[in-house]
Amino acid sequence: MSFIPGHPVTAVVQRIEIHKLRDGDNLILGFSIGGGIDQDPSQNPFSEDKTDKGIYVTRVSKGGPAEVAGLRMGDKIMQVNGWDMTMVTHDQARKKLTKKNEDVVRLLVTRKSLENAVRQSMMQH
Amino acid sequence: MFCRNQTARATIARGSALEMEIRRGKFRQSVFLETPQDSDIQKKIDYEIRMREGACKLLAACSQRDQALEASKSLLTCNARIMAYMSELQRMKEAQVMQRVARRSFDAGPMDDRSPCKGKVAISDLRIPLMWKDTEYFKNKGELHRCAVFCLLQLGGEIFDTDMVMVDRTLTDICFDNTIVFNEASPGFELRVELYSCCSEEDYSAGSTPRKLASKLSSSLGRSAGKKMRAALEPGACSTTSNGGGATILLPVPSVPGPKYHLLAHTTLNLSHVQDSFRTHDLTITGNEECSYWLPLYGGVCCRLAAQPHCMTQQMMSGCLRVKLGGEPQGWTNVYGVLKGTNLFCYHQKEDMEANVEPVLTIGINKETRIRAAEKDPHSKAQNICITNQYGGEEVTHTLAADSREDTQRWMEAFWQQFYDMSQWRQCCDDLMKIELPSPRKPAIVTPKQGSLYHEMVIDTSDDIGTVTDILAHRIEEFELRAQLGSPPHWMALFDEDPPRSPHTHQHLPPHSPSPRLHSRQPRSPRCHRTPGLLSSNASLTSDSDSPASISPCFRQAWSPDASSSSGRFRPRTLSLDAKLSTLRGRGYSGFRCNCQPPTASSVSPRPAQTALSCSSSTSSSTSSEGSNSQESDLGFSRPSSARRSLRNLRAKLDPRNWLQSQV
Repeated sequence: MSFIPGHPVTAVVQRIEIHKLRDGDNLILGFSIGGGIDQDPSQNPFSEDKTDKGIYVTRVSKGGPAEVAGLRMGDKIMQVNGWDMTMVTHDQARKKLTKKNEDVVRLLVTRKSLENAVRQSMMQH
Repeated sequence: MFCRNQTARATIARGSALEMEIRRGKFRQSVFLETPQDSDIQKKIDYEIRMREGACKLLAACSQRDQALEASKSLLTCNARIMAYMSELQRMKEAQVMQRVARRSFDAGPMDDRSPCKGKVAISDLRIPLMWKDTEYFKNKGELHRCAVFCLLQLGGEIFDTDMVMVDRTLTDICFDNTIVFNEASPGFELRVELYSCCSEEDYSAGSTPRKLASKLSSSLGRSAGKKMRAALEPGACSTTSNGGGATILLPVPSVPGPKYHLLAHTTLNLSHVQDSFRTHDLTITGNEECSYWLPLYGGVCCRLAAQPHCMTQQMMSGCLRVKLGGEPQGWTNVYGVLKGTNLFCYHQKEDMEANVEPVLTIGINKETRIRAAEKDPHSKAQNICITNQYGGEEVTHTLAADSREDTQRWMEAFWQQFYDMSQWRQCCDDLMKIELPSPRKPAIVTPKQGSLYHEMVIDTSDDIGTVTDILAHRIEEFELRAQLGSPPHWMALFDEDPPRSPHTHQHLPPHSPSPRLHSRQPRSPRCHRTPGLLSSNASLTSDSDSPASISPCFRQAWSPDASSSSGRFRPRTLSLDAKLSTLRGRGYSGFRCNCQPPTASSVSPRPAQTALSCSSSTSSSTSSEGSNSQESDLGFSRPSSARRSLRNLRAKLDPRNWLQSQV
């Protein structure tokens, strides 16, 4: 998950499809996000690189749609329904997740364990 | 005490009554001492004293802060000049006294002690970088802490000041545009650069606050205000420049109300710092963060220090010579020789030189040249002068002869002096450095705000999708009128938070494309059919990696057919945009809906695709691209979205110290 300015970001990602839960008038996903280019990256407890201004999952509510779909706390969200999340403000990220006309959000998330898993499997060969 | 009749008096005691009298202009120093240089300096001193009185009066009278700062600056400069002249005067007196009293014979000395020629030294393009903490910049609340700064430059007896510049935290550097030329500098010069600053935030002059208020306040100052007040009252302004000795001589300054400048940093430049290009020199910073006049200096000053010694610019010697040209032993040619800079130019006649005709012969005179007087030529009375140069490995010798012995001697003397000058001025004699004389009168161009890098990096979060939405809303109305569409153009639905019309937006889920990286969601069927009429599609699109495209063209171009998630797409976000657009297209034209397979991309290479609504997913270029996105739109740009944005927690969001978490 290294970030070199000016170069494309490469990461091992997992696709997670969250079906929003309708709660009256609200559609909830069941997790919280933190981060954004307008936020202070040094306060992010989940990021490996403390200058990473990406969107991270800070909390996953138990039994909620996100947990069911496989989202974990500490994941970094790379895309939401195709929209990039690596270079957005916090509010923009939130909006992309909470669009009322979308019942499903498909996320691309990355986490360190994924990378490790891939690396291990590669090393085995 | 002193005796008026004695002309041997050399020094005038500081603070003595005589000094006061002289300063008041009642007595000319020349009454006591009669030397022409003295009267020169005396005139200068008188002039400066008058200037100083004027500045004091102006300072007392002016009400505007800017005027007060300027007047205070001129006061400081006048003081500095007066001190410099006085110390020079003192030195001259001392030298005279030494001469007379010691009665040493200087005849033997000067012949061996050569003095190098003087030269012009110019310093220009002073730039002092600042080092603001980013927290200081980003906390935009609170008033700007501004300082007025200027530079005082002293070389020998000449003192110049630059224009005053107001500095606040929007500036990244303090730039002084003045070019300052010192005319009579010796190679061992010391150019002292001093940076003075004065806090311009509040008015600390004691005279301005009404008395009652001042007395009330004086007993109840807060800690920081008290500190500032104390700093403002400290008599730091007295220690301005120093003479060659380095001791600051305190001149009793008439205490005037008004802003006082304090020395913030200084440095001394000399011949080793002279170069034909910009260089950075270290600054010695006096003062610390507690001072009111403090500015966070990076610690260096960048400037261009150039020197033109007179030996390079003026003719050091000229006269008639005879040169042996060609190979003939008797081929003496009469020429008019001019020694200037690193060359000895030989013209046919003197008039040629004045007419700027090309010289017949140019002999280089530089550090590598060897000149010697040859043995007496049996045919002539005078000695020959042989000048030997190395031209690329070859030794070339020119032989010259003057008309008489005295001439020969003078030429040799001139050559020796030239060599000496070149050894003294070192790198300045390699090439002539350009010195641009400042234009006599520059119109004062008042730049209201000096551009700062930081401003261009401001992230304006209100320039986002919401604003774009509004633009598009306007656009839609236009289109509707024009094209008589019953429904808003499909792409408008992108921005609707509420489902526009029909619920069949999320129907068909084509299979995921094999690429693991790309997000291949296709809730809407891709369109293969180009919509007739409304917007023509344009094949050429700007690449989305760097420049933000303007909104309107990208919408037109968003219609290209292969809005597919096929493999080979490099940028999934545009992919999804295409997908969205195509389904919206589908929505709008129900007749054409079909579940066609994702067509293979017509171009395998990643299409330099729509950047467009990467206004929301901002590209990796700065998000200021968003702002420019909006601005490049040719719609009337209004920002009603700011009303829509909830400004309640906008400030909280904008504060970079927070790390917000939102529940979704």
